[in-house]
Amino acid sequence: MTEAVHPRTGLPGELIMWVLIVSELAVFGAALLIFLVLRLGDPAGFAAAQDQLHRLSAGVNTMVLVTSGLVAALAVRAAEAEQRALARRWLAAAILLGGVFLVLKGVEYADAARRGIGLETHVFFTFYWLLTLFHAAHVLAGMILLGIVAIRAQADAVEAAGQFWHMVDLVWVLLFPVIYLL
Amino acid sequence: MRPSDPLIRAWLALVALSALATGVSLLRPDAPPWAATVAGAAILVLAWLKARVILNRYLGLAGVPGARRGFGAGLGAFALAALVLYALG
Repeated sequence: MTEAVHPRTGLPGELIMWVLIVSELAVFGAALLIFLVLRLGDPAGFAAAQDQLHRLSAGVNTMVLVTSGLVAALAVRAAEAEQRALARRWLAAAILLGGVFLVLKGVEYADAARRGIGLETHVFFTFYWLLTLFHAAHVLAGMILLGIVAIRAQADAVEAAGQFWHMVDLVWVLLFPVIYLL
Repeated sequence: MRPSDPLIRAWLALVALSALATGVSLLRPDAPPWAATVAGAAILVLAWLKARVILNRYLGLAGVPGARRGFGAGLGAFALAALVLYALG
């Protein structure tokens, strides 16, 4: 993704962003494993609850998010090549795709709420709401971050925001199959 | 941007793996129990592959073998634990 590497670790980009990535993966990973442990006690209930989710819509949202990841990586590449106008356009595209993701999530949440599905409907839905809403909050934060770095489009800032955005992408590709597909 | 660009190839792989996982999941309700379990395992393996693509290509770990192995081991442990818990259910 980048030419810039941390001098001591050799990691591309900002070291603090890697600390954040590891932390977020640990938090979401632990929550997903707890979810699967709880599933052992009521596999039929979890399957019935999962059948009420929109798998296809979530699949489309996965395409949207991985595409936004590509666009963010292209923004980093453009910023590193000092092509700031191009970097801004790619960042705007990534923000737009983040918006599409949130709109689709909003439609899904509205439908679930209309059907009376809440935090206490079933333990499946407790995890569903908490994990997907926490992830959606990260998407929103990432969109704001991408918007802020687009103002000056400096390579190091765009790269750090890109790392955050890829982390959001990474968490989703682990969360999506466990909550929606299994 | 060319199709040979590593970023474009990574994106194509992610789209293909995501479509495959969703497709397998949509077909799973009509499958016999043993096939449904195999499908679930396949979905987890596909997720693990997608995570590796994002780490290696989007986040640039392809050029950092030590970190790539470390993240790979961590993700592999997660996927294996998830697979065991899923299969037990």
